[in-house]
Formats: sequence, structure tokens, C-alpha cells
Amino acid sequence: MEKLRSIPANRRADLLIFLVLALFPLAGSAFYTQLLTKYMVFLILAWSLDLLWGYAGLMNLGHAVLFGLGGYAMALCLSAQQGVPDFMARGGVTQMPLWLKILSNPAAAVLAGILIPALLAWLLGIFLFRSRVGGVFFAVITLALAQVFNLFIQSQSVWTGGFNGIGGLPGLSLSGAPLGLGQSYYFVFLVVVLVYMFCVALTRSRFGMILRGVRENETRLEFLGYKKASFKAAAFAVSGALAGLAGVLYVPVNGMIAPNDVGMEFSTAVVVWLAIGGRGSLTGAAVGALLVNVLGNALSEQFGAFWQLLLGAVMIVTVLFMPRGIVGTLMHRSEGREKRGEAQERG
Amino acid sequence: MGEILRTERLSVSFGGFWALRDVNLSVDEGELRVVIGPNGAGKTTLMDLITGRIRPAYGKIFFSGADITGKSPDEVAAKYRVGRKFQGPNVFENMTAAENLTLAAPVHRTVPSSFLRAAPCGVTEKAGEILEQIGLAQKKNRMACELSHGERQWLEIGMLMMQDPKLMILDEPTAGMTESETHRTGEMIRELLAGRTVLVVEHDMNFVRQVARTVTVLHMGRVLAEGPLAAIENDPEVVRVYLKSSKTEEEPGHAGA
Amino acid sequence: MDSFLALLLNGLNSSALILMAALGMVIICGLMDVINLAHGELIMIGAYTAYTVTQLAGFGFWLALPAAFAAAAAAGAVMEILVVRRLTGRPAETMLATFGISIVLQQVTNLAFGAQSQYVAIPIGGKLTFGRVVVPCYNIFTIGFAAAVTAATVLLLKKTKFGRRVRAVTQNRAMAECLGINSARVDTFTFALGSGLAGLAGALAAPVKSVSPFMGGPYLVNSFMTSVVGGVASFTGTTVGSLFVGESTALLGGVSNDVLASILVLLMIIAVIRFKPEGLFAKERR
Repeated sequence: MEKLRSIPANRRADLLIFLVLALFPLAGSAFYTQLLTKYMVFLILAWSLDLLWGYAGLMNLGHAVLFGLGGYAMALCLSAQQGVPDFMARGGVTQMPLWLKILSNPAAAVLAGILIPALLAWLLGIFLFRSRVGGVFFAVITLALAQVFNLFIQSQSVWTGGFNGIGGLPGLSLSGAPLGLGQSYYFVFLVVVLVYMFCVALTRSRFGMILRGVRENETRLEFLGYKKASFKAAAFAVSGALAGLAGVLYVPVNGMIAPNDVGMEFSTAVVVWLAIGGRGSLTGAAVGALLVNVLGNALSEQFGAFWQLLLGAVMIVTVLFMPRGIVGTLMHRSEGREKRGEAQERG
Repeated sequence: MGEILRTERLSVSFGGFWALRDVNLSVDEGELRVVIGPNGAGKTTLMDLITGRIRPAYGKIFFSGADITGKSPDEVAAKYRVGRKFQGPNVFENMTAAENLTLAAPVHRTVPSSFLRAAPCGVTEKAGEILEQIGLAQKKNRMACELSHGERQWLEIGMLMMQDPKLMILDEPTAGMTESETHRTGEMIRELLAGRTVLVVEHDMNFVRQVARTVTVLHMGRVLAEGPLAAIENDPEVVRVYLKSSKTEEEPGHAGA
Repeated sequence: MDSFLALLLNGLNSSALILMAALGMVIICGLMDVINLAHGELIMIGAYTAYTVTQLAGFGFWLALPAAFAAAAAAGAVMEILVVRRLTGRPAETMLATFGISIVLQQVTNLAFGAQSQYVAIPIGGKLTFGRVVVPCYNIFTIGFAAAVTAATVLLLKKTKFGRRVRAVTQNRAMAECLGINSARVDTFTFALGSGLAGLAGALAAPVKSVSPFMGGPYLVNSFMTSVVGGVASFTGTTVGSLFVGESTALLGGVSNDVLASILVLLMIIAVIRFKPEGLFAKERR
């Protein structure tokens, strides 16, 4: 018990979340197990944005672009397993182009799905952050990027399936053998745990501390001898790699990807998860992503647009009255209590 | 000891207004130099130029023999080792006092090294030492935003000590402090920064008398006078444009001390 | 040559709509330093007002224009009082909160009118022919109307007592308050004015663009781009910015396709942000 208490509150909360996730398939129905597999992918996406926004303070309003690059890389790979995919054949493509042949190798697709968004983010970051571009401009540019990317995917219907996206894709498989529902769940769970460990290591590293420095006071950081642009671009790249990974996983789990998953709408959804759950802590991002999606699934079937309306209203209320988000507010309170407790012991 | 910082005809204008014009300044290694002058004299602008925040219209800045004119702030800080404390506390508000110091340590300041390598041992010990010296050892795990105004000023001085620069620039380190805090800051600068090269911008004449040996007076973007404190305080020109007004404001009793 | 002229005129029409949409954003962003992510939804409110007035209530389009202004201005005033004012000086939080507002407004409209696109009849029929180039009369009206509204806005801010107060509050809030200006009320009016202009833009666009609960996004992005190119400091900048965005989209769209044009315009705007973050027409500030 003593040992458990020595773990900080947020890590204890994370452990609890992992425990629930680990045990869920034992009790939950197949339907919900499948659903939760998808939400665990969203968890990775939420963390990827949290590293950028919660830690480095850079609000990305086009995060789904990075997710979508990973997703479409994987979707093209899966659809090209038996030669030229149907939607390309309909567009008059008779032979697999070289890049698609390469991409049809799953390892290459995973790699491309992680590296391409990372590279795009890094290049954009290097270019933008060299000037004194403020956070507001970054939000605006990424928002525009999401809109343009969505249009681009829709327009390239020969290669991307256009408005309908790419569907009918097989689920996860390991070296040719398709994974069952439970196996897929635990495979994704394993990736989530690995990503979590990576994020914890990153945020506790000096790099993570420097990112918080960027968020808190980038001028101070600059005059301490740090190239702030490099760190912001690096944060964007890491965030892009993880978002791409989430996209790569999403496609086999969901069975399809469409322009809706890569545009403004989905980008803003990720922002909503973090705003409600709380930024700057992995727990907050996890709670936000899981809570909003689970509640959304439960309520949107019955209430439809009312659920979205409620979400918007909750978001306004959160920003006005709990700017740290649910988890941030709770943790701040408990920290305050602990400190007061300490002071009393001493006094 | 030789000269460490020299500016030659340093000039900068903002939309036709010359904030600094032909400023020649020379600071020796190990010296504690105080720059005074009325508001708008160009004191902070001079510090902005030296640390690379703005570029001069013309003129040169030499540091340790190297031309650092127009270098970026991070390069001036990391490569040439110039540290700067800003006007008013400028710290990482939502980070603990200890974290503020750790971040100031001049180690792993590039992306790959900060990413791949743990901070070398010794940083934490050094931070602990400095926290003692600036009187924040008890509060090392407090967020900077929970500290008082004076404590945050000291924290920033501590960050500069952690950074271990060759030249320390302190821009109004006592701004907004109570009288006793100001005095303590003066003691801190005298004791902790002894032997370092320090350039201080200050308004508070009591504080200047507490720490200064050589004083440079800026007025309307030019160097009006420079020399030992006693000589400066008796310079009729300086008294006319600066000391008189600040004396009558702050403490008439000290006139001509 | 004729097709080029047609593209140019088409671009001028888009520019006029973009100018109308951006005008409100420039006022709110430039004078109040607020980034309003619900700007597109204010335009949507204007468009739905036009739809309600003309198609449901059966009044003429000429009533729809002032009604759209009033409806959006009222919505803006409520937003300012309930939310934006409480977040003064916290730009990131303001963005998030207005983002929440945009979701709420979309869903309220969705619940009230349904998700499908609505139709607003074009109030002025007929076409004008210049050689072989055919221009709908409504396009010419749009261009003239946008120019007139911009001029009126400039006059309002430069020449009237209200405008002087707004500028006083922007430049030195504390001083303006000392002089007896109720800065809170000025803020509300400024926000309402910007919102009303957005509503007007929505009504103007309604007959030629699709009217749906989720129509706001592209308007938001275009208004942003215009403000970025022109800078928020001057209306000349806004006008040139909207011409830039509208014409380059139309002309590039003519030689390639619309999507490629959007991508190129975005890239150009990223370049502008990179090298002139204050916009191309920023006044030098100290």
C-alpha cells in the first residue's frame, strides 16, 4: 500500500485506466470490445496531440491530416494486396505503379504511415517556426491545411477512393494469420502501452522539460541558449509520427477510411477530447478521448445532434470554468490538498 | 584583466527615432558595471542589441574578441555564453523552482542530445546549491507562479548562475521589490556574483550605491558620462538630466552623497 | 482572352464574397485581438436568416439583408457578453471557447432546419453580356454591394463618434476609460458589428452558395487567409487580401483545377506568414 502511495496520483490514475482496459474484453460484449479497440487507437491520437498542444503549447487544428496520412498509407497497402484495387481499376488504372507495389508491403506501409506525417510536420515546423510565427498563426495554418487536405483526398478519387474513401479492408493480421476480435484488442492494447511508455519517457526527459519551457516562456528559453524553432519542429514531428501510427492502426481496426476522418471535423474532435479531458497530462488526454467517445457512442444513437450540441456546450463550460480540463482540475485540487497537508505537518 | 565586451558606434532606430546612437561601451572581465539613465534613454535597447534580440542599424558588438553583431539570441547565449535576466521576473511560471534551474543548466541544449541522453549528474546538485544561495531551498518544488514577486526575481538570478555565463546582464533586477528585498538582492549580487562580469541596468540609486563601482549614464540614446560612481554623482550634467529628478522623487536627503 | 476575362470576373465575384466574409473577422481580430472560430457560423446564421425571410416567410431579399445583419449581430453580442468577455487576454482559451460555440450553433441549426442544404432564390435574375463573356447580374450586385459595405464600414470607424470611441478603446483602454468611455459596451458593439457584417456576408452568399448547418468552415478558413495576407491593421489590406485569395483561386482554378488552386493559395499564404507575419499591409508598429 505504501508503495502504491509513493506513485504520483496521475500515474495511479493511468494504471487504473490500463487495468480497466486490460480486463474489459473478459466482461464486455464483442460489439463493445470492437468499439473499444477503435477508441484505444483514438487514445494514441489524443496523446500525440497532447505532446504538441499540452506540452509544447502548439494548438494543431489540423491534427487529422497527420492521422489521415498514416491511415491512407495503410488503406492503400491493404487494398493493394490482390493487385490493382477496385476503385483504381474503375479509374482506369491497369497496372500497379511502383510506389503502390512498395506500399503493398505492410512493413513499408507502417513505416511510410509513420514517417511521412512526421516528415511533413517537421518540414512545415522548420519553415514556420523560424519566423516569429505565433501560436494563433499555427492554429490557423493547420486549420486551413485540414480543409485543403480533405479536398485533395476527395479530388484524387482514382488513388484515394474519393468521397467514399477506401472500404472493405481486412482486419489486423500477424504474418498472414488474421487476428480474432480479442487478439486484435490486445494487440492494440499492447501498442497503447508501448506508446504510453514512450510518452512517459519523453515527457520526463530533458526534451519533455524543454517542450514545457516552450509552452511557458519561449523567450526565456531562447535566451538560455535553446533554438526554440528546432524544438517546436521536433515536437511537431514526434506528434506527427504518433498520429500517423494511430492512423495506421485505425484502418484495419475500423475496416475503412474516408475523407471525413482526415478533415477539419475530425481534427476538431481531437481538440475537443483534450479540451474536456485536460491537456498537459497523459491522463487528461486519455480520459478525454475515452470519455467523449464512450459517452458519444452511448448517447449519439438516441439523441443524435443533441449529443453534439451537449459536447459543444460542455466544451464552452469547461473552458470558462475548468480551463485545465477535468483531469487537470482534479489533479490541481488534490495537489493543493497535499501541499496544505504537508504545511500542516510541518507547522 | 582584459576587455570582454566592446560596442563600437552602436546605433538603432525605430521608425526614424534613434533609440541608440553611436554608443561606445567597454566592459572589462570581472567588472560589475551599472548602466543608469532616465526612462527612454535606451538602456533596455542596449541590452536587446547585445543579446541579439534586435539588430543594430549600424555599429558593431564584440564579445571576447568575436564579432557577435546580429547573431541570434540563442547563439549569443549558448556559443558566446551571455546570460540575461529580463525586466520583471521572466521565468517558467508553471514549472517548479527546481525545474526552472535544471532547464537553465547549459547541458543538452540541442534536440538530439535532449532527446537521447539523460541530464548529466551534477546538474541536480548544482541546482540544489543555488536554491540554497538564493533562499529558495524550502520552496524548490513550488511552481514559480506560486512564489512571491521578489522570489521569482531571485529565481531568475539563480537561473543565470546555473547558466554560468561569461557575461551576466541584469535588467532592473530590483524592479517591484520592497526595500528590504532590494537590499537583499544587492547583497546577493555582491556576494554570489563576485568575480563575474556583470552588466546591471538599474533605476534605484540606493541599490546602485550598494553595488556599483563604475557607472555608465545613458541619456537620449547616447552615453552621457562614464566613470566611478562618486565622480558620476557629482557630474553637473548627470545631476541635471537624471540624478536631480530621481533624487527629489526617491530621497532628497541623499543629495550629493 | 475571353475565357481569361471570364475567370477574372468570376474571381472578382469570389473576392467580393470573401471580402464580405473577412470584413467582420478583421474588425473583431484587428480591433479586439480576438480570434473567433465561430465566425463561419455567424455567416451561417446570416444565410439561414436569408432563407427564413425569403423562402419561409415569403418576404423579399431586400428585407433579408438587414435581418441577417441584425440576427448575426445579436448572436455576436450575446457571445461577447456571455463568453468572450470572460476570457479577455487569454487568446488560446478564447479560440477554444468560440470553437465550442461554433459546434453549438451548427447543431442548433441542424436540429431546427435539418442537415440538408437549403435553397435561396437569386433575387436579381438576368445576365449581362460583354462580348462573349456572360456575367449574371447578381454577381455585379454582389461586387457593388461588397464595395459599398466596405466603404461604409471604413467611414463608420474613421468618421463617426462611435468609430472614434472604438479606436480609442483599442489603442489605450485605460485612458479611454478615464475619459468616460464605457469600454465594455464598446467591446460588445464592436463584436456585434463584426458579427453583423458576417451575417450580411452569409445573406449575400446564400443565393449562390449552399446553405447548410456546416457551411461555415470554408468561410472561416478563407477569412483567416484574407486577414493573414492583408494584415488586420488596414481595410486596404483586407480588400487586397480578398482580391488575392479570390482571384488566385479563380485564375489558378481556371488553368488547373480548384483543389490544386486551393493548395497553391494555401502554400502562398504559408509563405506570407513565414516572411511577413504581420501581413503584407501592416503598419510599422513599435
